[in-house]
Amino acid sequence: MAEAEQTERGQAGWLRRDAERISGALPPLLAEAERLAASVAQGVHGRRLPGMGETFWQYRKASPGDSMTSIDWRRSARSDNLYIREMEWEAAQTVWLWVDDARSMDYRSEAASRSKRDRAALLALALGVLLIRGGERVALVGTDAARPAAGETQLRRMSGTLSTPPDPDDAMRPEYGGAPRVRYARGGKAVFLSDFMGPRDTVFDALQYAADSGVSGAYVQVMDPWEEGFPFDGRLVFESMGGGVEFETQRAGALREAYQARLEERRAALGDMARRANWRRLIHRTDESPRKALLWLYTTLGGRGATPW
Amino acid sequence: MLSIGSLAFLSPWLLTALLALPVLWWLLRAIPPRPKRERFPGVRLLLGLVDPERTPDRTPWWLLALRIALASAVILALAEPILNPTARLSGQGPVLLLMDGGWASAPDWADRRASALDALDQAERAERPVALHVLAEPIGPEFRLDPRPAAEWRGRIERLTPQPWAPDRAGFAAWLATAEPEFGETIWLHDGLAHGDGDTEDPEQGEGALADALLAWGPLKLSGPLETAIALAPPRLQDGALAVTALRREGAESPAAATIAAYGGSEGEPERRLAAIEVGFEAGAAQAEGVLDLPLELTQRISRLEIDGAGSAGAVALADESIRQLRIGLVSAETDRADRPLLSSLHYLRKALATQAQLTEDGIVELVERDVDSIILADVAVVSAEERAALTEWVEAGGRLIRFAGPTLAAASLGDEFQSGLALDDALLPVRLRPGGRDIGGALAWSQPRGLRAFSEDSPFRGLAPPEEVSITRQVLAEPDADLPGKTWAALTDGTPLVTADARGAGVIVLFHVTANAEWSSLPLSGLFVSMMERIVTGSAGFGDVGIPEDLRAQEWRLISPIDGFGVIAPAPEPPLAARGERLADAPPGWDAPPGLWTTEGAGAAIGVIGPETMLRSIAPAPAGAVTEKLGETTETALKAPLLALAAILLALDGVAALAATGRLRRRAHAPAPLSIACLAVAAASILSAPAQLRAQTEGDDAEALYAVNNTVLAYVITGDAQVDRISHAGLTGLSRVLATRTAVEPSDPVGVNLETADLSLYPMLYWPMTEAQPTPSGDAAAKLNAFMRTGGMLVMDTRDQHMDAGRGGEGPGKRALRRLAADLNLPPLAPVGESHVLTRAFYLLQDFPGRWAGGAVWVEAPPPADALGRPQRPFSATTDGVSPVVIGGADWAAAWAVDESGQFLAPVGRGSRQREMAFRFGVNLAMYVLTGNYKADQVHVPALLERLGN
Repeated sequence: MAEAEQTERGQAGWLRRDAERISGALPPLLAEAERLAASVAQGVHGRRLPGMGETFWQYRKASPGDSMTSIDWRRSARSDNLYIREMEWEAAQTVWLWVDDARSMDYRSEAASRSKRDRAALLALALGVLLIRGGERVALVGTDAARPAAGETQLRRMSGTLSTPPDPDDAMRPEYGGAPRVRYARGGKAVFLSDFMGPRDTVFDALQYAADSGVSGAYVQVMDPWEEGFPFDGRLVFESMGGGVEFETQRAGALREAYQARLEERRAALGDMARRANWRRLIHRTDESPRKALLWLYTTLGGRGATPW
Repeated sequence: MLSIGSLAFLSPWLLTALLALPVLWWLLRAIPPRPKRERFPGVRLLLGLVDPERTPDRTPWWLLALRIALASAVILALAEPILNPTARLSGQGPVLLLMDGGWASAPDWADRRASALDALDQAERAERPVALHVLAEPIGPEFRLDPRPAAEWRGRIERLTPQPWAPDRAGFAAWLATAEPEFGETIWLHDGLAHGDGDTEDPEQGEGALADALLAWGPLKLSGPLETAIALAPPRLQDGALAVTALRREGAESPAAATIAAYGGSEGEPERRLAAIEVGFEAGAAQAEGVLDLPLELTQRISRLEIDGAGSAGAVALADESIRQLRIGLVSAETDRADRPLLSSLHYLRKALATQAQLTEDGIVELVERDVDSIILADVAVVSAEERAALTEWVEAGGRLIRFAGPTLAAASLGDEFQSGLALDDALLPVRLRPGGRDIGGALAWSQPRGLRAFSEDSPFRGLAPPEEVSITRQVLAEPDADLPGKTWAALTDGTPLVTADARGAGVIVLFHVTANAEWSSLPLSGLFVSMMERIVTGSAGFGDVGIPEDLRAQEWRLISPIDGFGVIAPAPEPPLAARGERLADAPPGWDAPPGLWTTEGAGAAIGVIGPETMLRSIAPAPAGAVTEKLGETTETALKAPLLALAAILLALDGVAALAATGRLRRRAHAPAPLSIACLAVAAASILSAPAQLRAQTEGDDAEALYAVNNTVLAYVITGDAQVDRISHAGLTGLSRVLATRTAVEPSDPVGVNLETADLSLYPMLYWPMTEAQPTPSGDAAAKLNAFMRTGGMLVMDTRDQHMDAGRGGEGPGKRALRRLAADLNLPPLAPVGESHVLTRAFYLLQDFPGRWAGGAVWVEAPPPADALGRPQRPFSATTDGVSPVVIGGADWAAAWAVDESGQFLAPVGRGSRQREMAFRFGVNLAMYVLTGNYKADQVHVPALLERLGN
């Protein structure tokens, strides 16, 4: 008696509670990422390859060697040939995402509306949304969601991780980040979102490791506009975000050329690295639209881009 | 207080902080601005870069200058600099406010009054009592200084007007030396002139002495005028024209000009401006002279002379007989023949001179004593020794003796002592006469009557054309002395002198060698005779002293036309003011003998502030230690706020500059620019915040107006006396409660209104307690009050001093205040509230109207006069519905009504509660009366109506 009542009440309650939980738990970042993903997904279509999947792709004439079970008898009955029904290839792929959470990513100049980390997290999550909706397995390395998985649960896990802003006073956080050395599955894909501003060795060794592991993917160098423009002048003491590195100058304006030259050098090195490892590289400024970067990422990962990888 | 020129510092010791500026400079120079720390992830890329150029680690000079200026501005501002400082009260104890208040204070009287009120304000703020003394007012034996709260003097100072005489500084100094008044500081508004001259005061003992004496009592502040008053010396007649002299302070440097105007009118004609002349003071000259050359007749109509725009009694000279009338004495030896006037020796003289002079016919000695200007002797040779002496002295002093020949003179010239009585006195003739005379054209003569030769250029008659028809038939002849041609003013065609003259001392003796009638010649018949006489006598006018003749000094003189301090002619005082001639003649005008026109039996004299000898001298220089200032100079300007604003602006600039110096002011960054603009805007707004306050005030007014319009509100006038205002508010609150409980009137909380600013038309009734200290309503406020009463408002004026004049009959302070405050109000004719007045039955039936004090009449507008049948002749005014616009009483009703928050009565009233109840009933009636008008007036007529019904 009591149980039945509880059930009856329970069902309505659960529905309600779940609905609330879903809508309430949907973090702003996820919502934003989904909005962003939706705008991109509209213009991009599937894999356009026959393969394992659930969506019908094409009929083709059966050729010797095709198993009998694969013949679509209904289609074949309408003509003299035997046809095989092929589905679109929907084999899940594993994509490792890495969002640099070092202190340098906390930087936000007056010219930008978001910090570099925020932008990187948004891009990562939006890409995650697109990938998971596409049935891929996604892993967010260095976080709770480090194990590749598919489905909404993984998405929620990712958004939970990415929505939590890093503690700015956490002394354990490094000044500059390098991609963590995890066990990548060969043939997988990886997307590293970072500023790649750290010490040269740290940065490139990590990249080399990933390349050696047999994954390919994209580097997204997230930059603040001021990091490119270097609009400083006068007497200044530059310090890193954690205060660990300091540099004093009498006239910052005079250093602009030299700084930008060094930045170009770093980018060129990154580009070289990408070319060697058959990766791709994107430079994204935080004052640009994230959609552009997402579109580039999505086509790079999923579409048949010009560059094979 | 430290003064540098027109700049003073209230806290000068703060200026020592300026000494620290070099240290600040050194510090600022040594410590460059801290570099800004910039978090920047790209710092790693910078490591190892070398600055291509090094700027010195020094603060840029312009930033230094800016900061030094900023520090200086702050230091200067804190030192409270004041431009054109007025001295402040500095001593202890009561403040003595001295005002000269004499004629020389009149031109800038408004400034003086403002300055005095300002001094009162200062004293009031300092809570120091004030004693006021006007030096021009007499110091009687009872005189003493009367220190009172500053506010109580305000009314007196507003009423004060300058006196038309000089301040008695010496008298006050003398009093000060004997009395022991209590005051600790003096503010003396002086007129910048010395008034110590005159024979009763020692010039040495005048101003300097007073200032020194005052300084002994405490700090002394001397306020002098920017320009001392100018004055007009008594006019003199000089050669027939009016010589006028404007006076100014001796030692005045710059040239100046003054316009002296003559006013006058004949009987029955209003006074008008007759002529004006501009006189110029040379640089350094104390006198400016001019001559008003008017026709003699016009000169005689002048009643006063005045310097245009001077506005003081000293700049007005009343004309008396000394300028108005040429006085000519006529002496004839023969008696007049009434039946044959044309033969009289004086007839033609009278006709010729009547319009131009006052003619007196009398004996020689009497005429001399009366100080006439000219004496005409028509064929009088008999001059006694006494007369001769008198005449000689008079001529020497400037008299003009005009003699006509005739048979008597001719006989005297013959030496016929029998006929002439005495030997002919040569001294009183201009020439020696030849014995006898000559007959020309007589029956037995060969020669023809002679005509006149043209007048020579030396002659006073030059320019006159001798008519041809004039002929001389007989004359006396002069001895042909060497100096005869020089003495000849007119001669016959053959050169025989006809009119000779000779100067004697200041005067002159003129001899016509013919008779004054037509017997010897036809000269008196011609128009030429009139012109000749006019020329001779006008040359004679204007000698002798103005003022009180010797023989009338013992007389009692009456003042018939005084002038006030501003030089305006006032009506004769009531009761008449009298003084002895000696007082008028010997001492300068004063309170007992004010300047004006004085008269006694048959004589009049103008007594002016300025005597003929008066010179205006500067007041003695202020003694060391006294503070001096000029009246009406630009008022003081505190420079603290502008300096602080400047410092704020500099600070904002410094912020921008520091940003620029440290390179944080980026060319492309727009943030700092709006910031600095915002800083400047804030600074500017803080300086110019007045409009905002104004707007706030307007909003406040609107709220008040809405409250008054949406509710029935009793209002009272804010008097400025906190206690009185509190009682007014509490009283009207009490009345409002009673009205709400007993009647249909439910007033809201009463409001106080400021007469100067409030809109009175919103209130039906205004309770106005009279206090001594409240300022007289300005012209605008009075106009508002008048409009308020005209349009149906009711003013309840409460003098609150019923208890003070019960039995004594004197005037309480409230009544004095009422007189002053209501001076500009259009109050209707008043009458005590009658038995049948609506006020006695508007709600309750009342017989009397007690407040805190019982008894005494309540005055309202007098009822319109009734006709024979007892009906009012004119209907009640439609606009006010028969409600009297004013109710005046002295019962202090508000005190009787006053309740505090908890409903407790504030003031004790009478014995028992009856009187308070009656007071409330009166209040209820008052409110009903003003709100319902004459509604209950019908009741007044009930007996009459009943009677009519009964019939």
